[in-house]
Amino acid sequence: MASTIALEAVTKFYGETYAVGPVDLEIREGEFFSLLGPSGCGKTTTLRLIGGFEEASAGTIRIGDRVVDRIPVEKRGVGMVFQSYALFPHLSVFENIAFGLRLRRIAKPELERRVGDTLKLVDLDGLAARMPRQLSGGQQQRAALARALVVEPSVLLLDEPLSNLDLKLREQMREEIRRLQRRLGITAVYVTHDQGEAMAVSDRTAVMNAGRIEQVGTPRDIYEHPGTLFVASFIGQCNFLTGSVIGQAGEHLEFVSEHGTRLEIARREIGATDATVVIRPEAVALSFQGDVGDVARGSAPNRLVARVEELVYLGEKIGVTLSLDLEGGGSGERLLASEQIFRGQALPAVGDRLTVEIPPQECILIGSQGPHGST
Amino acid sequence: MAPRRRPLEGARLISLGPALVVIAVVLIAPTALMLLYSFWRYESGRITDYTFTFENYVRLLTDAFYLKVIWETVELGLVVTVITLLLGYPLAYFLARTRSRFKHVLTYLVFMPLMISLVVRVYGWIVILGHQGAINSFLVGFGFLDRPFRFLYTSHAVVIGLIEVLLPFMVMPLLSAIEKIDPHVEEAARALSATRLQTFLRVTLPLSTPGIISGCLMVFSLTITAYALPALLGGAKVKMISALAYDSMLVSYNWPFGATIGIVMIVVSSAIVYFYLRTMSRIQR
Repeated sequence: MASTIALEAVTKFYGETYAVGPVDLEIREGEFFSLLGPSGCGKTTTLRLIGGFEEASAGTIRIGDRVVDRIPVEKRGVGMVFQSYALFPHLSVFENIAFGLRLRRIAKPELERRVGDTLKLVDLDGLAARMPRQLSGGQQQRAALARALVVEPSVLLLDEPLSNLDLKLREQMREEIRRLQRRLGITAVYVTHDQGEAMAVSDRTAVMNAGRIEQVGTPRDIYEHPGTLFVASFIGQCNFLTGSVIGQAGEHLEFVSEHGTRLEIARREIGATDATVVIRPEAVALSFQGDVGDVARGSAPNRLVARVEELVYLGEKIGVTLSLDLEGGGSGERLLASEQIFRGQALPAVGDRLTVEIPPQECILIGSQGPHGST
Repeated sequence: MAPRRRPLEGARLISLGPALVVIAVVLIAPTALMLLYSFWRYESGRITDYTFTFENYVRLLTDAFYLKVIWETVELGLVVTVITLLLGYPLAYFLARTRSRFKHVLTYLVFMPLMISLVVRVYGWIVILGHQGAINSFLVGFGFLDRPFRFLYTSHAVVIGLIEVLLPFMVMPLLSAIEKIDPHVEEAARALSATRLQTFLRVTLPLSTPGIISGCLMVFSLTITAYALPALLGGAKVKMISALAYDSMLVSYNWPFGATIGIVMIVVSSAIVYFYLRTMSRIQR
């Protein structure tokens, strides 16, 4: 019942204005796939192209085996949940959900049964007679979901459905949506700008920027192996060191940054010597006991000395902004480190000098140019 | 303990003062006077001898001639309202939903004619519809007709003129109502397999009902109270209730009867407004 979705070289222009593409995408049956990116990156346009609300300027879109380019929205068999819910204000919750079934001329007993079942499924039992304006945000959301699901579409499209909800409700609703999707086995395409949300619910994600897809992968792929600077910076936090690869050191590569910081980094083929190394804050290990002077530099790879510039207490962890000491004196790059702390643990102070260690495999090498020439 | 008067209330009353005075002088006093006159007996030469009588109302509401005029006025109102609705709705829908960069210019074009004096516009229609007017010159000149067709000084001319002049008053509330409809709501209907027609009938139309009612009431009231346009385009043959009021007041100086017509028209208009407000609040519920 779930369908695959395929986009081949899909492009969209609004008159002369470029919006999206070319986009190539393959979404598997029953997958929870998200389109992630900042405002204006084209993710909503791409979703609307799949749904048929916009017509592609070029390329082919397939749902299942069907080429749907010329097929209007009402015949594509996709369900859609909008950011604003878009419930029919003049109809009750029951009639909203029944809308699609009435169009299909479903007989009354079956119609009532299916609406009733779906109301239970989204936990709106008992609210059938209410009008949309009498519902809370979360309830409207669930009503919109119920309305889309009751007609058993092969594909469910969701356009930032949780943006209008507060944090706690958002987290709760995304789990519910995920659970429903798994239970019904439906293919879902989910648009969001919230990377935490995308990571938490998706099987795979496509990170989009300026109308192009930068990378597609599982949340873990994207987090641990970002392909471009944009992806690295959009997902989680990171430190960037620009410089070049100057040679090999055993199974690692040798990297020197613009400011002269030398690092051993994990081997990665990027086809260029000018590159950027990305280091996640949690990968920067701090030791703030012991006398820094005793540490023999070079005794472990990527062991450096740094001065604490700023410290932020975040409850479960601290965020420390450091400036690296250079061999010849003076300060090099600034690094952001985050470290989990225990209750009552002594914390470093601004101005302290610490030893900093970065494991080579945590140094992610990324070419200076993204896959489409973006930096 | 009695609630104390808040200091601002005095100020509010004072700021309302001027407006209240204007309404009292310009609207309430004349209407009261009209009401008075409508119950006085007409006497030619003196206008009235101030005797109380119902005869004006009896005459207006039972005489076949006047009833015919009233009926024809109402009929005209209905015809004009229906046609402006049928013409105005697609126009309003297009203006509401178009993404063209000319949207504002086009909207402005619909309302721009309101800036031109009504009489000037009516003369424009005379130029178009007259015996030597644009249409007849074209039809006769190219041989479609032997003699010019009589457009002018018929009720058809009045209908055409009223439709053109009142169209903006239909488009305005419709445009406003349709723009308020979230386009995503219409898209949601289509995502549930509704064709464009089904979406229109089941979603757009019901949701634009307040605009439809508003526009229809406005056009209907403006039509039945129209004076200048029916007089100029309809000539002596097309008599509307407003023309009868003019005749009474300024030609035969039968102010009591003229006042009666005025009062009846006020009652009818007030009834329309009342039903409109009641329907709107029911929809809002």
